[in-house]
Amino acid sequence: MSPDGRATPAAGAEEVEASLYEVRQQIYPRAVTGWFAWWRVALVVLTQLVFYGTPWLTWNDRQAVLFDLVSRKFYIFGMVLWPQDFIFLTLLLIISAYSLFLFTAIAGRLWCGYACPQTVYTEIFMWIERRIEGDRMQRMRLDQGPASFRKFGLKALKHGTWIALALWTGFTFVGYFTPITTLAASFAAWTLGPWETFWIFFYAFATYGNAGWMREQVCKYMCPYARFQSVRFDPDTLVITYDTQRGDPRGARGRKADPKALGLGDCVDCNICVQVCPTGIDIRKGMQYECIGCAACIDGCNQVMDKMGYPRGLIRYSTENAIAGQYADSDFRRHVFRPRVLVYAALLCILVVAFIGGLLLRSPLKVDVLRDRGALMRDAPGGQIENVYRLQFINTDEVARRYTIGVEGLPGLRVMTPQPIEVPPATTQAFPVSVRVDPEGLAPGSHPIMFLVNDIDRPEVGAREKSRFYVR
Amino acid sequence: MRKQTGKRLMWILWPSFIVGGIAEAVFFTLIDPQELYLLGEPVHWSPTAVYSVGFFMFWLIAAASSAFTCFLLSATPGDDVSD
Repeated sequence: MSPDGRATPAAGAEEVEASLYEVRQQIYPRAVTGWFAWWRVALVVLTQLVFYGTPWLTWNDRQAVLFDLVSRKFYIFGMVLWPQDFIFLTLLLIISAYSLFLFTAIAGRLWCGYACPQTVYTEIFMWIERRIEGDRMQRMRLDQGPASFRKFGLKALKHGTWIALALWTGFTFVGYFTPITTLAASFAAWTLGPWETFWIFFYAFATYGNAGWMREQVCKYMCPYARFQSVRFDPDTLVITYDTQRGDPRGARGRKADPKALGLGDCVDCNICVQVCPTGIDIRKGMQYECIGCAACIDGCNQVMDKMGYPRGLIRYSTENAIAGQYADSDFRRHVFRPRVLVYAALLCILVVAFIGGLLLRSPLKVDVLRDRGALMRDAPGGQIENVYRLQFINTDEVARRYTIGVEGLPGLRVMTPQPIEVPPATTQAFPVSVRVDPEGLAPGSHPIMFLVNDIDRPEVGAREKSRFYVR
Repeated sequence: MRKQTGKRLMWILWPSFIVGGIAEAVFFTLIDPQELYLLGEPVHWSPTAVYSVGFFMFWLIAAASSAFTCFLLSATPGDDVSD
């Protein structure tokens, strides 16, 4: 119940908490248009074009973005990442986390409102629902109405469309791990492998369940970000706020009535802000952890303000300090550069530089030296001693490369293996390499040596690897 | 108790799903599935099968831990954390 005693779709937080799944009140968000709704749709379209489109792009005659688990290589446009490059994935995750902290400190839950897959898919699923079942009132009437042929038809159509979209989403997801053209071909020929089929359905089920059924409950009960957002906020963070001073006391009135004469604020208590809310809260009660920052209430309220001829922005993006009258909304920018934001930004810059620098400086050649397990050493013609090694080459480039192998550390030490050796594109290959020396004057036992590998075509690419040479 | 089932399932399955995913990524980055042995025999399954089964194993283990935590919370007398 809201303070004014009016029933709202969302009951008090504690009540909802205890009633998950059992008496959850179905939320029927009302469609809204406006500046922020436009941005939300734009971001839905953009993120989904990227998600559904990316696996179909090609690069160097292969899928441009492919996380090839079978051959343990991640292809991302011109880059091939190997398990050894795990550090970059870790860095990328840390960068994402810091970006989230930075955006949250400046402007609240931008991620939740516009880019989070949960929001995006819920938005798409709700759009389908609206197209099929109609807007808020029609949907409520349909759900409350008796079972009928029409109701069954509409529900079947809605769920059918949802499931089709969910399956396509699952297919696309699997297409990031298995070449999508092959996947499409085997789908068409009905010869999908058991695991591919399983993961398509698994992901489709998750999409259908989360976006069709769970919706705001995922944000409320499952998302950890919602829980710690309050420690990421401060009084200068831009959040969606109802201007209590301007709006209260609330009350209905005619368009021509003078609110001052009636002793009323600007809020006409039309409840549009509650009806459009995807999480079913009343923003007029102040900051609530359920608020995903989608700004639907701002759009809804602005439309009403326009109709009433009042200035827009009764509900708006503002900061705690600005609402308290410490500075004007327009001065928000001057309060952006505060220690918290500067620290996040500085850390983010360092991490991004480290990430890009690391990627650019990543050597396209890696070499591992293993001693041959069979024999420590053997005699070679001319009284020489031979040691045999296995050199494993990882050519991370997408072109074949030729390498020379040198060795140093003992006088007269020579590599006997024919050179150069060639390693095919983006391949790991091992070669046996024999090394000989004249033992004259050498102490028996083990001597440290160094293998020097060089790319013939690119002198700046090379590798040095330590090993040991045994002399009798 | 009956009323809590949905919530409990979510508390058990959801965090363990996330942890299972992280464990899967870390484990299989470091270890090539072709190098694994199952009951003394090299694993003959396809890599996709190993990755998939591996994920569900990690999820299951993490879920077992979550379920244990959940049980301890609800079995603590005089503690209303789970109410």
